[in-house]
Amino acid sequence: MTEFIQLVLAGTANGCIYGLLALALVLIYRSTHIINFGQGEMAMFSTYICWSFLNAGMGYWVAVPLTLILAFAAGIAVQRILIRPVQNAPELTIVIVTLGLYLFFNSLALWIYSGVPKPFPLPTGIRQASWQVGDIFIIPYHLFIFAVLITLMAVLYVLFQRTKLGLGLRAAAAQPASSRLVGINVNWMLALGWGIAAAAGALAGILSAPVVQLEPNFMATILIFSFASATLGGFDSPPGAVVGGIAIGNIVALGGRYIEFIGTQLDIVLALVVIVAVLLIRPAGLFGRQVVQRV
Amino acid sequence: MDFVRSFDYRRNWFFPLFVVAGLVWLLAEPAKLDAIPAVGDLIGPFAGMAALLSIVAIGTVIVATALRPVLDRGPQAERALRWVGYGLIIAFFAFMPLYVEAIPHASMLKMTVAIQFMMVIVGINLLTGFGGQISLGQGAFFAIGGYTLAIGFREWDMPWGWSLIIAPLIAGALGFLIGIPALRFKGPYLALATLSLAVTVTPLAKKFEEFTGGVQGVVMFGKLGVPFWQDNLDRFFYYTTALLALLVFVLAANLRRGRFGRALIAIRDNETAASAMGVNVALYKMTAFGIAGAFAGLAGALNGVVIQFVSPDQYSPLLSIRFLVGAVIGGVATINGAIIGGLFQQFVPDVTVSINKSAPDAIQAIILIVVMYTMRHGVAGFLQETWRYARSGLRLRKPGAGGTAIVETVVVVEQEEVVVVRQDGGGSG
Amino acid sequence: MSAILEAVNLRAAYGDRPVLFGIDLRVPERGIVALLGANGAGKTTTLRALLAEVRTWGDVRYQGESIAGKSTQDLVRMGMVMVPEGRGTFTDFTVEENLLLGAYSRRDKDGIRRDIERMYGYFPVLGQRRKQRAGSMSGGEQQMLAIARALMSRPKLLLLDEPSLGLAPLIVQEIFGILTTINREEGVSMLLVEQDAVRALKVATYAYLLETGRVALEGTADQLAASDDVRRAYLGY
Repeated sequence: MTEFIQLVLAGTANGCIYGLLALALVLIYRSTHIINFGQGEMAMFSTYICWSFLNAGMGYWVAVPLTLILAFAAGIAVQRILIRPVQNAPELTIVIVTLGLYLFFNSLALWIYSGVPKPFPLPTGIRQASWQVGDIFIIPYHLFIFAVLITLMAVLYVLFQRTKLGLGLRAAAAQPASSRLVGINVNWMLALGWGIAAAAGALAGILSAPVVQLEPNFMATILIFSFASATLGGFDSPPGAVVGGIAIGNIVALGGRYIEFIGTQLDIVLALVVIVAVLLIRPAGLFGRQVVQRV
Repeated sequence: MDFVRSFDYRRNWFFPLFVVAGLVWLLAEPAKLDAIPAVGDLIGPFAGMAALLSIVAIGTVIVATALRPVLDRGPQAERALRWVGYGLIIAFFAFMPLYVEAIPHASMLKMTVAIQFMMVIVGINLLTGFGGQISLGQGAFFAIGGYTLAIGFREWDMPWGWSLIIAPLIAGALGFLIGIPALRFKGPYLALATLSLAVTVTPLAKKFEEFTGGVQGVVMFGKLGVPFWQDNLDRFFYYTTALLALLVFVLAANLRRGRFGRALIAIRDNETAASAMGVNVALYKMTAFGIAGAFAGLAGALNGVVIQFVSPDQYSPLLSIRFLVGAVIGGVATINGAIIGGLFQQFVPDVTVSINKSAPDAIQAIILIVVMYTMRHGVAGFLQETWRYARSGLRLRKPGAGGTAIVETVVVVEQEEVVVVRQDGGGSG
Repeated sequence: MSAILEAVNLRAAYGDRPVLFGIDLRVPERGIVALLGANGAGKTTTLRALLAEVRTWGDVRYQGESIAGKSTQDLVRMGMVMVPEGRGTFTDFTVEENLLLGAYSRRDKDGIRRDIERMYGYFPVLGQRRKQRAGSMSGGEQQMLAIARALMSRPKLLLLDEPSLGLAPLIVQEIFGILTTINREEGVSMLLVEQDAVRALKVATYAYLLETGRVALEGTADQLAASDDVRRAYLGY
């Protein structure tokens, strides 16, 4: 039982990170019907930028917000420069362009920072040692990740549901043509969506970097788990993405331990199984709305 | 539905400029094309490739202009000329050993691998270009080919020749089966599902150590016997690959031109209409997956034979992405584009890797995006359009000429009736 | 009477395909002008061209100023608002959110609040459903919502695209009644695209008849209603 709880704690912490990146994917998918294959690599590159700041002597609590702002700006720039020209192009074109983003950021990171893993510190003020409650060890950083996720969700909820900008963002995503007619600048709303997504992704990268090692491919696996999370939660539901992420985190943690065949090597297969199963059984995911086929 | 809008001189006026700039750069210092790695920065390869492309494009213009009197004689002349073109391409590959040394960065082995890439890409062109099904998982079928060879060799001492028959069968059957869940997925979802297929290959191969040899892989070096040219294995494998590739290309071209191809295109352009015409959408989609899988499986087995080594890390998800990238750069809805795509994927990384270990991918990423903006039909589409442009005496078609934008899709139903489905290309008034 | 909108030689195209071939059009201040014509004559395109939603050439003056190069958002902000065909309801949003979206280009919070209540006065049914998902309402209710949403931006000129489409006659009557009230009381000018020529000519003061992207006939509503061509082709008697 102790072990089970321990696994759930770790699985939930990892799941929060999957959920964050899934959130980024969902924010973009919801507004533009694009699955951004470059999302993970954009997050990875942002994490390297943050590492550079830290390495230059900046404090954690300065470097991270600064990185998030930069990631936000970069997300907007990517949408304005690269995505907008192909926004109405066939799906293959858009998939290819986002794959181009994947390749580009991946190779750029390898080029600039080399493949040697970089140590990434815990946030200042978060201690390494774990607390013991009965037989269970609680890692402070896991709680931190969870707290960050909850805070971010709250902020996004207020932004989307309680502000005029949020109303515009939601409207532009749901019905761009009508939004234009009420005077919403839809193009900018979509770009802002990309910016928010890029910042959320960057946060996922920064949070996971101290746990796994920071190297150019470190987000690739996380991206697949996030795809699984977004698929499970529903590609058009931000809360679904987070719930899906936590579910996937636990499926992977528990599956790896209790299904002997899976072990630690085949956890990615679990993600694949989830993706295919969800798409076959309930393509809209747990929280998504059934997709209406536009002919 | 402009799934495959080809290159258009009217819209992409800046692209010829870009190409000319590359040519000027090359003429200024001709030695640079050969010395690309020495340039040490990213401009070199781009300028080099632009220059190469411009040479080919200008060559195309000259040839097409010179042949105009012949071509104007009618469709037979055009057809005959096309066969001459095919003949030249085949001859180029057939006499490869004579001049392979003279081509920078080339060797028999690299050419062999390039041709194997072409085989995979031809499959992608059928599946994605004509069938409209995005697959990021062709590396998985490639891996199945490689492991059919390796496991056969390791477990049962199977002669490698058998794997060339068994691998495409297994990969094809698996592709056909994977086509079933794929029926439920559309567009980016399918890309996602197939990508996760590609991602699982390496961990699976590592897991089943008792068959695959785990991380160490299966070493077959010097243990694959050949009936002749024992002293020149590279040559033997080159011709084996080239002959099988010819077979694959002929098969693909026939499929493309026949009922299968027309049905695929109809499904791609309007699935509902095609289905209403009596096309068995599911069967055709699955078959397309099966064929693409079989091609990749065959290429994978051949690759294992040539490299004489199979290991999990050869089949990373990046491999699958590279196959698709090659297909797209060559021209995804063309058969000939696969030749360009294969050569591109073999030689561009090879030439640029000396700049930096990660330069090939960075360069590919940029080229990929540029190609998507300027010529969605890839290099093959660009050259076709150039040819057409030169054929019409270097005159641009006037905007709006040819009436309204009507997309015609020819659907051949099972009874061989030809039905024309007309779709209004523009918005409604 | 001065014109709020005046278009000279308005042309428009979808891609390479021209759809409007030079339309001259004038909407007087506080007037209602009807735009009639068969399917595909270019009525909707005319509205979309005026709002810069399609590629457009020609000289369009709105409140005496040329609006060349202005984007749709700019024009909405300037008070030129469309009630699109199919109503453009934000289906997943509540009725109230729809009205707030209508006021997106405004900044005066109190004014917006007051206007929402005013709309509930015009359309009591919307007031009863303020928290309901707009997509779940009937066609007539959605049409009312669309008009209310457009009015929320305090327009000076409403471009109405087939407000009667698919609605029961009684509802159509109610909607046209409200439109004339709004025109009279608030001085909103209207350009009305309508299939139902009888009804359109009843509320309009002036009308244009479009045929394949050109103005085939124009005149006061009475003149058009009396014209044999229009009667035979569009009024059905």
